[in-house]
Amino acid sequence: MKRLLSILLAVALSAILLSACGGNTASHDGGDITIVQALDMVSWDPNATSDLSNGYVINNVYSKLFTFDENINGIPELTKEYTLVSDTEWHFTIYDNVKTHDGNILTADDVVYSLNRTKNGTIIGALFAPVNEITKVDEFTISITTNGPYPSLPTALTHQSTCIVPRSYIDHAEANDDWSHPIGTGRYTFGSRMIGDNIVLNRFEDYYDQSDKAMNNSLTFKIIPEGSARTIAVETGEADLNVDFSTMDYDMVQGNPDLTLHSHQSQSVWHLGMDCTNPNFQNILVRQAISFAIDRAAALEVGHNGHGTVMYNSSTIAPTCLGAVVNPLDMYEYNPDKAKELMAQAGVDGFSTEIIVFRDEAQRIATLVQANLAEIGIDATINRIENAVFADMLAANEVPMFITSWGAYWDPDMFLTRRFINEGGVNRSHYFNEGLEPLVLAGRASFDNNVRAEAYVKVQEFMAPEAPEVDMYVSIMFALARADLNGVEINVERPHNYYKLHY
Amino acid sequence: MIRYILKRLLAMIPVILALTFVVFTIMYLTPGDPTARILGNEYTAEASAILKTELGIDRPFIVQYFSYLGGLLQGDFGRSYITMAPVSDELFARFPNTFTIVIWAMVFCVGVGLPIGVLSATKPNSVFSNITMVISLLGVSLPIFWLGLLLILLFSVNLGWLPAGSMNHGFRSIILPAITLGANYMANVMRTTRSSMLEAIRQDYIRTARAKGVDKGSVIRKHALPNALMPTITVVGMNIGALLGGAVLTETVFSIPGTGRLLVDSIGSRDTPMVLGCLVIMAVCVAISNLIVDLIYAYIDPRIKAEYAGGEA
Repeated sequence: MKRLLSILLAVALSAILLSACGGNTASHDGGDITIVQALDMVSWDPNATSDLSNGYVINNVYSKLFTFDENINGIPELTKEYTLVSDTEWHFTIYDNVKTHDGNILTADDVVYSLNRTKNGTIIGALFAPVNEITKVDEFTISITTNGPYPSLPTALTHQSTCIVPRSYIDHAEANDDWSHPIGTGRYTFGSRMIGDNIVLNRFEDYYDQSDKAMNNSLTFKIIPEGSARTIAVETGEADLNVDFSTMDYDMVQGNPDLTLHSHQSQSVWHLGMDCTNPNFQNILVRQAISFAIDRAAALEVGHNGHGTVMYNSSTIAPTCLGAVVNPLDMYEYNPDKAKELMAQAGVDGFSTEIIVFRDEAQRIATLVQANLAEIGIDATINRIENAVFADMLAANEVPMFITSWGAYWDPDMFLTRRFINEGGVNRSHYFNEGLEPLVLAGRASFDNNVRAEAYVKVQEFMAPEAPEVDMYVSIMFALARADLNGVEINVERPHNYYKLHY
Repeated sequence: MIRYILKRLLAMIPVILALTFVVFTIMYLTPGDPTARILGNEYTAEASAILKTELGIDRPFIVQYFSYLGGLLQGDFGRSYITMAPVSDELFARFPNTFTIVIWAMVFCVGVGLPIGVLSATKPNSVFSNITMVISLLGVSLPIFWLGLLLILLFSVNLGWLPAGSMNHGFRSIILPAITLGANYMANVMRTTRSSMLEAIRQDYIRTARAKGVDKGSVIRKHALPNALMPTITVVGMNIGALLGGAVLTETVFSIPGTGRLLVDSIGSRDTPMVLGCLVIMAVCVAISNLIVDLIYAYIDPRIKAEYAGGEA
């Protein structure tokens, strides 16, 4: 009898083990993943917007010649190989088996057509300014010529507006003015979308790289604008990943065994900017005084609950960027006495000004900055505005001081020109100095990153005494996930590579 | 009666036109434009100018307004500046969610507020009456946002009984948003019903009915309640507009894709056609619900019905 019982028990145990194995097999299927984010995407037309939330959705349906790594640096995606034919000409060869979602093979014609559309559009802006011509070389190779050396081209080709859309779909969408059912070559096909609520994408089984296809069956992006509601959605299991985690909920999720808070150092540089054309900030000594007056560690504490790294730069180059120096010339530290000294040296007793903010974190930091500035005689009022108004106010020189963040690329060439040389746009400090441009161009002149890094060190040393802005800290990026969710990856900008998410 | 209804419906047209003009003017004069959201960090004055031309928002105010109005009169709400999708598509996708929540919130506030108000009036100065007064005070005082989060924490996070948001769980999705949205108005209905019932049951005809031996339940049901209902109906009718306004917060807390949330998002991104679309739909709803309330008055009170009929003659 005992033997019979043992046999029955063994059979039962085997059955349980086998079923467990079956469960594992099912789990390799990856499951259906729901991601919550604060903002909805804007359009499936890659040339319709450069909005960040848009890019991280459309990147799953479209592929690009280059995607980005964790530092937002370009790495090949559709590109099988690329060569620098001369200092001003690149050849890119794509894989010859890339299938579009409607079953065709992607060719150089599609790539050239798509990239020329990008070049002629308004969204890519300065990133394609050095690009002269995009032409077909053969069935799967294209040529891009530039007006000078442009080592950052692979990184420029990671921008969402360079998503490759098959020519037939572009023609169809443009003719019908309807981009609502996108066709791409990415790891997911379009499933459905309810504007403002959700976007559903399904795994593309014929993805050209079968060894690197999506590990989950589907991705659903759920739009939840309210921070706590996003956290609760993951907490209750209605969502698997919150990519816009609010640090205000940090304590709430600690110690919950069902949740994991993933983190990664970002390249979001929180800074205090000044309008250098404003009479109060034209004096370089005043700008330096302000840079000494700001308690960056305290700003990090109030802005992001201490989750980040303090920095003392003046050119928005985050500590993880190419050639970054945390404190160029070791010039700045929190030193109110030195700040007062500089104000006296400048012959300025003090003045009244305004700090413009449009985000919660910035508003918290502004309160601290206001107190810091008061110590050196600057009476600043805080004015919270809507994001939509900021660009217009900047253009009209109505923003004497502002606090916001800038998501830096790993390659400083991708933003230095726009931020400190070109007029308007994101040169929010309205800064101009003829001495800077040759230094920035020196960073572009070489394809050797060591040489380029040295050039950017010089840029930072040039900018330190100029002090058009006070770079305070880079924040830590968080993503809240279910504890058993695998494959969560975060880059310096946002959680990414959603195709790796699986159970 | 039909002529009265038609007259009221026709009267909505100038109201809607006035609304579009006022809202369009406010949106036009408000600083900022949608190109900031569209262009993000790639914003330049040149790119913004090109986009404005493409969107047609660089034209003079009058041209823009009449162009919009022309489309509206043909049933075309225009296209969203941000998503470029037809406004009507988004409205028709979202309005049913808002409508569902508002209707269930009304069911909650009338279904709970009315009987409690009546019971409380029939037993004034009792413990029950005092408790209902405290509840109604709380209902009026609690902010929607706070109450919604509290209900989510209790019923979704801690007890796991109801979903925390979205509309994907059928009727279960509606319970918490409807209670959150309806709580405040339920308290209003309760208080109004109680006070009008208290007044009604002190009337001579009620005393006469009781003296003639009619039982208390019948007196309340057949004599006091119909007379006490008018102020309650007025409160309910007036609350429909407020409920639509409250839906903005409720939809945000519960992540419900409704017109309220769409309206707030659209104002933030200066998406004028979408803002107008949402407000036109909301205005039509309020106007129609007011008309329905007026018709209910006529149904309950023959004197009002006679007045409408008199107007018709």
